Amino acid sequence: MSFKKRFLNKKGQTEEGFNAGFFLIAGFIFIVMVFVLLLVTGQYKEGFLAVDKDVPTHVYAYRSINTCLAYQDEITGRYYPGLIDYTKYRQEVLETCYSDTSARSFNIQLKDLDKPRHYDRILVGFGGSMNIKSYPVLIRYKNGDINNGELLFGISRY
Amino acid sequence: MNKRAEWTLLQTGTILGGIMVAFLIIFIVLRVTSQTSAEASFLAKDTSLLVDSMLGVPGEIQIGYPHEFTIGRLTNAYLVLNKSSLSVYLSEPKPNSTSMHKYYFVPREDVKIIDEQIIISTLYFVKDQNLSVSNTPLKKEVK
Repeated sequence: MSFKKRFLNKKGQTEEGFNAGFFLIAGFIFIVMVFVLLLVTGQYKEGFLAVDKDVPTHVYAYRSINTCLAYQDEITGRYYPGLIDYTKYRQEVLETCYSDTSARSFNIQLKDLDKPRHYDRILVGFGGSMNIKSYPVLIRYKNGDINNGELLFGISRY
Repeated sequence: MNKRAEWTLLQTGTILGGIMVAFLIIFIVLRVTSQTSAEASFLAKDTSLLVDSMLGVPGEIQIGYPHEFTIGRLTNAYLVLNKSSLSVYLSEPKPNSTSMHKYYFVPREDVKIIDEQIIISTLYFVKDQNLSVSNTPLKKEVK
């Protein structure tokens, strides 16, 4: 049987069963199925690889607290984790510390608890954050004064 | 079927298409959820978190990632460290290929990340002025 006879009726119209609509619907269902499948398997994979949602925040926050912003003794070279050197608390320093913000951005706020006006916020990257954590720190000023402080740290993905 | 109960090409195509789609779906599920794939993803995520942690430590540090943690079914697999990500390949990676098992870390400008491609066995991550990974310890181990 020729192709024409098989798929077209006498009026030259498409015969039952063979029409573009069938393939459009089948194709659409197929694409939706693959999309849903990839979504479900992706979620399954993320599920068993999940870590506590605060772990990345802690890891990145302690990078600032322990190294990037930490006071360093000029003579011995020793870092004092938890003691924030206020002279280092600058946008450039933090952008060096978190140099690629294509996967995550950071919202960093330093509070001096011993001062009435104590807010000092720096955004690295986009800066938006849904989950901000607080870390107790000490703040060392250039004149040697040390105050109680709090580092608020949030990360976001985009 | 048409009036003469003939088997049409459309019906054959539909059945063959259905079988192919079923195989494709099974292939995708097996590929994503296989133990090998799971271990590769775990290794990539775990080591990228490890690198992030190492970048938060002042001074020099070397961490050994024991063979027992990495083997499982990952034989002849490769770990690729580059500027801001860690990838695991289940066979030798070709140039410009992308891994399904890739996780990102946030680099620091003052610590240079050394690009490495190594076979997966015991891994040693070292951070000094640079951050690198190798199969042999670069620093003398301190007990």
